[in-house]
Amino acid sequence: MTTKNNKDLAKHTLAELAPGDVATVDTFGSVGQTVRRIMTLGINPGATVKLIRKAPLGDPLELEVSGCLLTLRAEDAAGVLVNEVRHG
Amino acid sequence: MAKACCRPNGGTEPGQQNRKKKHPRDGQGGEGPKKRQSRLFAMVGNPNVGKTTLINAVSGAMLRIGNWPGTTVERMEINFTYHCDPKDIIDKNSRESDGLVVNSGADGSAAHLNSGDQGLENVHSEGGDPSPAEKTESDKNDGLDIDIHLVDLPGAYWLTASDAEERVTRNELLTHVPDAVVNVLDAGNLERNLAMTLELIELGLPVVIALNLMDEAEDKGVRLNVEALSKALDIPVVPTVAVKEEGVAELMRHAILARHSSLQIKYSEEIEKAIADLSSYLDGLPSARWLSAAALVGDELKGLNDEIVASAEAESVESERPHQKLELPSDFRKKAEYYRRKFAESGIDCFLEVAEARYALARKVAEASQNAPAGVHKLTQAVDKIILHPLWGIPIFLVCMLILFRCTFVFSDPWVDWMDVIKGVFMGWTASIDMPDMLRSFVMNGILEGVGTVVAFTPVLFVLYAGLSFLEASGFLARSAFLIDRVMKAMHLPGKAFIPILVGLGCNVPGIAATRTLGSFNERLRVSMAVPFAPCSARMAVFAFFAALFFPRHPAYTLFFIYGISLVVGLFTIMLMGRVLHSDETDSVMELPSYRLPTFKIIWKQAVARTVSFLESAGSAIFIAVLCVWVINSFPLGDVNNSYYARLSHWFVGFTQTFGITDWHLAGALIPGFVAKEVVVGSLAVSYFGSGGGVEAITLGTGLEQIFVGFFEAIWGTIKAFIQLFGMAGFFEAQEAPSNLGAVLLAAASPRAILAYMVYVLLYMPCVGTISALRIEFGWKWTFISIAYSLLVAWILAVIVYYLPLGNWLA
Repeated sequence: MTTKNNKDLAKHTLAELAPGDVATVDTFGSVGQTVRRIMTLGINPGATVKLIRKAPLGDPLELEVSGCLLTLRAEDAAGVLVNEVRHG
Repeated sequence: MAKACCRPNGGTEPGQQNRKKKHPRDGQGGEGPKKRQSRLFAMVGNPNVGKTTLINAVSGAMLRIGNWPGTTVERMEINFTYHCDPKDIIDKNSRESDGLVVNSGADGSAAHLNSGDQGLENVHSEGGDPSPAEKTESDKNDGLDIDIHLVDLPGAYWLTASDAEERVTRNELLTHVPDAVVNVLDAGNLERNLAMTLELIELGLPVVIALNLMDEAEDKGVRLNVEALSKALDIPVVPTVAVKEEGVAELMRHAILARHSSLQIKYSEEIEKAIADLSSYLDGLPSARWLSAAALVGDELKGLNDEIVASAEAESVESERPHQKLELPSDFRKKAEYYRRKFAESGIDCFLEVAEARYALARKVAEASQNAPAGVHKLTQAVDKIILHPLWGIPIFLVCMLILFRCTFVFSDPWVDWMDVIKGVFMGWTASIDMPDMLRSFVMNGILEGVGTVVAFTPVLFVLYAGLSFLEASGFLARSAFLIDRVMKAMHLPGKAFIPILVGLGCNVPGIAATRTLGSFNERLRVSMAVPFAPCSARMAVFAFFAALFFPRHPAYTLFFIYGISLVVGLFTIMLMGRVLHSDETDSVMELPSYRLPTFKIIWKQAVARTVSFLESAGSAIFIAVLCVWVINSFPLGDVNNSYYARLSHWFVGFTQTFGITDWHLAGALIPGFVAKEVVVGSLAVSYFGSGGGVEAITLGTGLEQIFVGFFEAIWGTIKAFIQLFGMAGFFEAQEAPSNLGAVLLAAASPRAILAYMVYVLLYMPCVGTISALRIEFGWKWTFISIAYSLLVAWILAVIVYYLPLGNWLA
């Protein structure tokens, strides 16, 4: 069970990934409109996410999830907690 | 087998491409002797999975297909008759309690589906032996007609309502309880589509799955095991390819037979306990479990019984089924509030818990049904390496935008010219007919001018809409948003706002339409309030004229100045709107679809549909506006200097002199300018010099010949356009005007006043076309706000520009 206050596991965020990295989504820092949208598009707890590239200007990020390509702003990526990071 | 005998019996609106819906079929609804069964089905699914295409395929109707999200926030309904051989409807494997046995010869209690506990009458007529006299044509084969009432609900990802689409879907399912839900899934995106499916099951409704976009899924490398999926969900699953109308009959068959799934999502212990407790307040409602879970995760379940508000475009349709009010007991709400607080205090986020459980199950089911999972299209990946290249991406993007921009003018100009030729011909014909002068003036300067103005819009609009369709359908639009997002973010805008603004620089009207690609109403409104400040090509033509005349030494700087002001005002407006409206920022995450080569036919159809729809709504407004201008120009009869137009202009000078314009011709030209900004220069000419003498009379034959020749010249011009595409000749061509107009104008105002005038023209009141577009998208309230705001801003800036003697410096 994940709880908001339970942060004893070392948490990484999507924003920390480098192009080619693969990670599993764990949970979210807080839930708002943006997070709802992020989840409905495929970045939800348990999903496997791969960082394809960052945009030429550094932001946003392009991710691959379940065969879909999604873009996500870095500031929102920082709210997505992941684990099992595997470097590409 | 099923396909051969079961066929939908004609839709409601063949060939009609807009939103008009038909009234309920006659003879239905318990009106006595007609023995027909009826069903209410709701179509639910994620956005863009092809629901509307599927409805078209199922019912044979021609509903508008919107590729842009947000096109169906209204409830769309369709009635059709499903003709069937009853033997095929008997589900031999049905369990006793829920099987639906339809037997036209049997005695007749109508079969009830298990929504009986809601007290809802699911069939309006009792089954029974139809007397021979009442047999209709379609009963000839001893078949059965089932009247199907299909409701197409807006695309939504979840049912826990946080935006309009979800709310509409939620309300509809709770208050017009359908006999079955047809859940349309994107076969290539099973996991995230299934989240909705699971909610539907929790709602306690019978669900049937249409596994759509099977062909695209195969392209993605997905291999699905349909049986496994069906078993895992305990729901019938019918593979469909909506565009090819495959699977449709089978789908209907299963929908008629639909029963409840036995699948249950298991949440954590605490949450299950809470749900059980809450459900006890809901007295056996099938949707109790969903309602309890929804209350826990924070859906306030307000406004459940709201009648669906029709959007500005939709026409409301009388639903066949009575609206079943759903009132949640206040004890339920209080308990839910109690649980919400309790969980929050112990640090449990119910929303995340529930979401985790649902997605975990969705993933499990998806994995069980996929022999090979989806992967990104190889070609898409390859192309993206080029287009989204860290170094070359942006330059390529800018070049493409430039080309696109050029395109619109280069392709539409030949046709605008042809429109001019046609107008000239009609004028010539009018001149050749003997009629009183006033009537002639009315026909030529009122009617023909009015129609001409409307029609002159058309080629540019059409090309812009076609370009937009192409960008969106091909996948380029999303990429452009991705590339430019960083810049847009600095302006507090989503990346997707770039294209609407860019398009707005050509013409505001499709620019506003293009905001439909943005996610939420507020975002669309925010950008659309700024779009009218993008200097459209019509205005730029006016500016080019004035710049060349008054600022011959620095025409380019003058134009840059104009752009600069529009940028500043635009940004300011966006920030201001950001304060006024609650901004959701949901557009920070976006999907990049696979690249697709959209068929010419689809682009054509969409562009035609959008242009026609715009003309229908704005056309009459523009036409009437032109007529009004003619009226004030022509009356009272006699000297033009005595016309209402002149009087109005003189009065208007009192206002315009605040920014240095004292000549009534200039002030007055602003009035017709609100119809279409490019008319300003023409009006000036007319105002100074009169309507310019006789139009030459021409014969019928000559006229026809000119139209004909003009047509071929337009075609040739379009072909040449392809070749000239990459040339950079003449971005803006200054408006043509009589040469003596220049001289007169130079004497009429000082350069600094003219600069202020240009700023006023840039910013004041959107043209009729834009006003119509705003009204369609956002309603009258925001349209009026936009008008008032623009008038205010225009005046303030014009005054400022006048008093800073920039104009004198530029001259």
